[in-house]
Amino acid sequence: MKKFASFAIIFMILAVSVSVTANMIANKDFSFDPENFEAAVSENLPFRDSVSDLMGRIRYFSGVRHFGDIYIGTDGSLLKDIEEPTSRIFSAAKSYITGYAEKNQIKPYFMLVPTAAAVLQQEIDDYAAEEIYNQRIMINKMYSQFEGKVRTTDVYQTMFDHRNEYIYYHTEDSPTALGGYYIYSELCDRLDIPMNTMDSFSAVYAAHGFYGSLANDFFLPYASADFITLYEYTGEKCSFNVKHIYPDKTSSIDCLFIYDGSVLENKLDMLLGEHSPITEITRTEGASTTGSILIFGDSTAQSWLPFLAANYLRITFVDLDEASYSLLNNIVTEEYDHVLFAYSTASFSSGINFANLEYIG
Amino acid sequence: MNINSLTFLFFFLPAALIIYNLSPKKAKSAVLAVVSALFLALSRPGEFLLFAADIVLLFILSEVMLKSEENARRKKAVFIFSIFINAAVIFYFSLKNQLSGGFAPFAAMVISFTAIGYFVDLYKGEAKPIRSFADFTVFLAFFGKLSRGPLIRAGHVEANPINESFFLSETGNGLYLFIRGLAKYVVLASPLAAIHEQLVLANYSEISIVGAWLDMIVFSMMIFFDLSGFCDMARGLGKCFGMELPQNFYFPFQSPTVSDFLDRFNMTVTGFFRHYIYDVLRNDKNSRPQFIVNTILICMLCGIWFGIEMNFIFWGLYIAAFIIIEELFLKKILLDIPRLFARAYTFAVTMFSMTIFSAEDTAFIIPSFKAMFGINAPMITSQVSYIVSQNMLLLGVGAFFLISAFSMLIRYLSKKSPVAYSVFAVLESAVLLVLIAAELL
Repeated sequence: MKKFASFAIIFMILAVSVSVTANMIANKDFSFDPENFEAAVSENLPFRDSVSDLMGRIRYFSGVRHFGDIYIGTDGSLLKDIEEPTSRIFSAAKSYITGYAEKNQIKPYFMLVPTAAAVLQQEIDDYAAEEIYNQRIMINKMYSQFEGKVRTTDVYQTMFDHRNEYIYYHTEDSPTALGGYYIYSELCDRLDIPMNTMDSFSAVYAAHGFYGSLANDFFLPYASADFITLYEYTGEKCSFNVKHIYPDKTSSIDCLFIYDGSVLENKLDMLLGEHSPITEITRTEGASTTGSILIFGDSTAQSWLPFLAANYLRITFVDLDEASYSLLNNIVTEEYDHVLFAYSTASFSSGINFANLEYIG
Repeated sequence: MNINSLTFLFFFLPAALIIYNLSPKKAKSAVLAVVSALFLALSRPGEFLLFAADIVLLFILSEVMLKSEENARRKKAVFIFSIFINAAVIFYFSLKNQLSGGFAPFAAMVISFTAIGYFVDLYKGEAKPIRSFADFTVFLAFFGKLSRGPLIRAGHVEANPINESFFLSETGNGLYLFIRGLAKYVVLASPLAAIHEQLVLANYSEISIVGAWLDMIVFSMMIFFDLSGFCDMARGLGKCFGMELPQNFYFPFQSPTVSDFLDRFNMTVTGFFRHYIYDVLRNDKNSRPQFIVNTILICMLCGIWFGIEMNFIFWGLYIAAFIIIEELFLKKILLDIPRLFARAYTFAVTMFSMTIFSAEDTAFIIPSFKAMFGINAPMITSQVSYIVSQNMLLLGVGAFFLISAFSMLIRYLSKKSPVAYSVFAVLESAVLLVLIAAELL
């Protein structure tokens, strides 16, 4: 080998070495633990993201459609697999929810909404579908643990029956508003409230060509864009107030939707404005119903809450992971006709802070 | 820290190279010994003190043996004790790995087998004594060869001239070889190992014709890139630090005979067993029964090198059976027929041997062979077709580099046009470094 080539190869190694060291010093990212040190070297490697991106593209080119926990569907859907919940998650959910029910002498409702990875398996290879965690088993396991103390709602079959419709966003791990309507229809049946048919709503195509949080730089070229449809209630004259309550501030909008998505960082916030620790939805006029419901859930509820808003005079939505002690303490369970726990299987399997139920007044 | 880690590539190696090249000529061996000790401490922190004590004890024993030239009984006693110590170390680490379900304890085996060879040679007066502790440490535990070998013999390692131009001439070559070896392991062998694991799981649930054949091919490629990758890394690091380590692996699947396959597959280990066991046991060179027994013994040892497991023993017996058949009558035919046919025969025999080699559950060997020939097996299962669809590029690249065509092309280029070869080497190194980094992120 010629000396210039030798020099170039030595230079390459030394240059990367110096660059990594400089980055580690600049980021104060040193550790004496060998595993942490290897991770720090990896984090501080020059052009890290580009290198990782390049490798991913080579793999995609060679036929790979499974990257980490995300499968790329044939229709450009990004299907995020979930991890099997630990037995501790099941037992915590059971003990805190049944404990809360007994304390307040109520029989709450409980619903786990499957994610797209469980429902849209026609978009991926048969064997890949077998590899994906079986959410059906998880839902059944959780439901059976309540031993009749909680009324469970099964939306799995409904979502599966409508799997060929646009019921999940391609690039966000959440049901669309249409998916939300099917969840709503199951809820109405279980809550024993009158269901508003689709004719009661008029569809507004509010945002086109948007990409959700799953479509990072790597997945963007392979993902199909999403659109947001808002379903306005037209069944009877009514208007709504949506109040978002934080520990230190409160904001509100006089509508279920924000129609100008350009002002929003997260386009899904067009539904209900934003996701906050506590959201109060009240009907301000034209209400023919008087009921109220307390809902504990996650951000995927934004897809079906607007439908449910037409059935209740007051809805209080609580995110147990985000609400503070003082906010939770202000909630009085007795004030509500129904109590519902509604989570996507994804957020449930990653663990919900059900222990916070003890702070509810 | 492993030899195939980012920490090694971008911290340990550059630092070791700089310190080694800046140190005075007389201190280089001591520097390399310290670097090797540091590598052992970082890569096997829990075993470092045991290795250090072992090396110190072996050095003391070698000194005592050298000073016992006049006293034959003492010399023999020291020799037997040294063999016992090394056997005990191998036994201890093998047992430890067996209990923890790990792979063979290569570092302990490389150190101990190298030491056994040295003590045998020293006892027979065939080895040049190593009187410096630093040289002895480097000889036994040079960090480049601890992962898979090669095994070296005293006086059989060529030293590169260390002069003013050494850094640029040999270090560049060494790093190039090291990067190629690392890429073989990280970019090809490791992902192939993952595919092999998927195939094993798929075949356990339902074995198919394609699944059985594919697993055999994938495992063959994986073992080839694993062993030849580590061999290239060791040789490359050897060059960087002034040593010309022997080749350990040379396209074994292209051998014209199974006997030749064994000579190219883990060749320094096979050579070790041949030199220290086979030749010693073979008193009567014309005795066929003795040849058969010795061949079986050597082949089984070559298998056990990878772990004390039934599949490795069966693999050794399988290889031994073909070597014996060749020696009895087949070799003559293989030498007479066109080389392509001889190679095809060896390729088939050795590829089939990989089904035995890879079978962690030996009860699965017969069903695998049956499935290969379509006995009670479907053509393909959905799992296998999915695995193929997800890994086509890797399987294609692996198959291409499994044969020596690319290697021959590089060698041809280096002879015909050194400038073009040098440019190619730089570009190849850059591309491989990117791929290695991407895999290790």
